[in-house]
Amino acid sequence: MKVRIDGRGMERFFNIAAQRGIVIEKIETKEIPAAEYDGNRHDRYDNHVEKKELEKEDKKQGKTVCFEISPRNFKRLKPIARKTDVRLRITEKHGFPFWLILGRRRSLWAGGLAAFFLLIYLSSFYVWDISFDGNHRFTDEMLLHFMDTIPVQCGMRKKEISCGDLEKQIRNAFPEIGWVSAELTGTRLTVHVRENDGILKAETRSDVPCELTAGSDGTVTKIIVRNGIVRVKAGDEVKTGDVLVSGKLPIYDDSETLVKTNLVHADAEVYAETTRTVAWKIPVAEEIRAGTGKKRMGMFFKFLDTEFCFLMPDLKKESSWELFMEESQLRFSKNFYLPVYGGILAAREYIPYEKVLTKSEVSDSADRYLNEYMQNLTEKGIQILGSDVKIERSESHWKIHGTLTVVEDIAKESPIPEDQEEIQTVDEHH
Amino acid sequence: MRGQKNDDVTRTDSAGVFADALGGETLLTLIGTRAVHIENYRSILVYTDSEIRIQCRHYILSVSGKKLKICYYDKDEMKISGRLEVIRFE
Repeated sequence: MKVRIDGRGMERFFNIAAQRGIVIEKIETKEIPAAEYDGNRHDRYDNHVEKKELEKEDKKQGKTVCFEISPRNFKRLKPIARKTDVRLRITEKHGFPFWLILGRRRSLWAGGLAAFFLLIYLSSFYVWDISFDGNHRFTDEMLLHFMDTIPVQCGMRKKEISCGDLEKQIRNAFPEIGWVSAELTGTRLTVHVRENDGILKAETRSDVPCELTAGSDGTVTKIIVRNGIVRVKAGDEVKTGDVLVSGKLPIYDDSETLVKTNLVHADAEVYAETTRTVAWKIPVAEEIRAGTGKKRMGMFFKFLDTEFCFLMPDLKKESSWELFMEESQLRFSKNFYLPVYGGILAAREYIPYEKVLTKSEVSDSADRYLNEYMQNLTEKGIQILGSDVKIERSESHWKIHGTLTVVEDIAKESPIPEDQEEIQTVDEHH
Repeated sequence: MRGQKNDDVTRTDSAGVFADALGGETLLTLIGTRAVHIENYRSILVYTDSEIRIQCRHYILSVSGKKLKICYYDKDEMKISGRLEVIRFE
């Protein structure tokens, strides 16, 4: 602590203190504001003569002597000060005990600090962030939605989450996920997954007797038969429902008499040239949002489910605004997340208006649609031979319709009608 | 700390000489004009920021200068720092 010393017996005071083994350091003379110095002096001395003397001294010096001492030694100085008629005045206090005393006066401040640490401590018992790693096919949202149903979600106590059970449940729910590892570090639950490229399933060949019928009208181009008797040949025109490959295998004896009819599971690929009709509608006008150039920036905070937004100045209701939000979660370290979210809001004013599409724009858009559609077909293994698409305008829409000539597998499994079966069995008896 | 010296133990001063061998003479160690280390003094007579008078065994030591400050002191030694101008024996 720093002490200011006044009085004429200052030197005597220092000498006695030294004799008693009291350590005093950094004795220095300091200039202090005159008003403070005078005030102190006048309070202290009632004697008129002494006061005058001191005033003279003040004018001459205007200075005071300060030194540093430990609080324990300061107590030992008091009798010496009384003896030598000097006055000690504490000017500064430093150190932890004084800081604690000062903190007592600022109880609210200290309480707030304690509450802050307590909240952080309490929040460390909960999970505040769930993240996934290694997922490509399943999005984070899909997995989060699934975990909500278990339920494992943000805000749960860490004790209630069993990583082993969670792994098991994810593996059972998603057969495409081959390996799962759930890791609970800090307030964060990380789920590492590894997806299989394809599900390995034992190929089960159905032995149920069936025949193959045409799924759509067309002209047969190619047939590959694995099982059954073919009823059509390349170049034949077929209609929906016509039997293409029969599942009945007649067995004749040497005299060409029907002995038995075996029912088999017909298996074949029957490619036929078919036509597909396509039709879309495109509205005559589309909405366009033209920005006015006005921008607003703001901030938002989210604590648990409570959200606060600050946009300055507030958005006017009569105009239209597009809002962009960038959210990030507060965290202390890599794995210590807190349920506090913050972010920046950006608002852009726009004026919506409807723009009438020109024929070339509609044509472009139709091409885009058609290409997308054809790409989908190609991915399914359907060969496209040609397309004939027309664009027509109706009152409120542009109509795009046409036909696509494709080569596709039209074989469709259907059960063998039962009545035929019965007749066959009757025949067998005969 | 310098003030916590034990008197029972034979002491040597900063010059490496036994203090008793000097017969209680004052020993001054000057550190340029910035500081002076005084050993074997008796008492402080006057302390101001421009002059410090120290009672030694046979004389009074007067240190004059500017912004004089006693860095530390105990009953045997002290260190004065500041801008030293004159050191006089009276």
